[in-house]
Amino acid sequence: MSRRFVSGAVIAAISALAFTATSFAVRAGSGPALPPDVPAANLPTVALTDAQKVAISDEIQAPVATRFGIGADSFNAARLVASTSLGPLYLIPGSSGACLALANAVSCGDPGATGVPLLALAVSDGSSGFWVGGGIATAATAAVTVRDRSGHSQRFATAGGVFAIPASAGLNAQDPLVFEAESR
Amino acid sequence: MIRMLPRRVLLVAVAALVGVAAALVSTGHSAGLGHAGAKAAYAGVHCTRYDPSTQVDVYCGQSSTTDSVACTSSTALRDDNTIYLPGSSTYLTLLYFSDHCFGTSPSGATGYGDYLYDGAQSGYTYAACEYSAGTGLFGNCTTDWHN
Repeated sequence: MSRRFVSGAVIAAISALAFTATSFAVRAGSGPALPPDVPAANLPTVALTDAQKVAISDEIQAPVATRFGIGADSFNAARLVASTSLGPLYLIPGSSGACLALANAVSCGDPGATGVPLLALAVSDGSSGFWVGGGIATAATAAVTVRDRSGHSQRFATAGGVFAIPASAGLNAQDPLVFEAESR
Repeated sequence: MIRMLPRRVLLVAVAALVGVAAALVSTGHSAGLGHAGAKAAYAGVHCTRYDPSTQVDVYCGQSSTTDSVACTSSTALRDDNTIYLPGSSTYLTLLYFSDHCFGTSPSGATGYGDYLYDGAQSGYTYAACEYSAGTGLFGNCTTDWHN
């Protein structure tokens, strides 16, 4: 065998090794994962359609996706948090945070980080005039109290680290909501 | 200095760099599903940053210390409405009003986090954002619209 052939083979082998090692390192370090103290991590994954993946992805702006580590793997690790009158509320985990998606709205944050007990999203239901949605909370959170500006409040106990806000809670979509976590 | 390195070492280094680059291209950023702010192809697509201060089509992503309540100065056909306050973890609300800012019967989204997005709205509306005021918050409220 010529020396040139051997050199070529060695170079190809080194390139392949570097490719494999780098791919592994990148994927291992950036896969979607919720912190251990966020019980929603134990929810089963659900399959989203390609159309759902694209729609939700388009709603998460590029700097936000980067900040919370939302990538293609995140959409394969989606969880169903609640079924609402506006459709399913999905959790999309990232490698450094998570997003919630409902109807054509998204909220993103870093639940489980220091001082961040929850992540929540609610959307106005035009048919009832009330907010509907829900969220996820840390294991240390027993309940989430939600108040609207008119003074109406509702306490939602967490179950498996998730809570749901139905239209029947009567939270007026005219008012912004304030979310307060109650520790165990 | 390159001339001082044996040719074999250079070849190995180049091969390793080729492998790393290929891996980064294939994993890193093929992972996205088309973010990058792709917008529908309307005749005129615009962004307005309406908090802090109003800027149309420039500095839409620029952040600074923000107010707690803001609204656009006019109506438009809205493609989206967004609040992003990185690292804030606070109460966020986005509303669309057809009559006037903070008028009656809004539609919108509310939540707790750093980022809140609400999608397209039918008809001409004002876009508003509201969040719990805190010192040292840096971020912005923006809306994409078309005509």
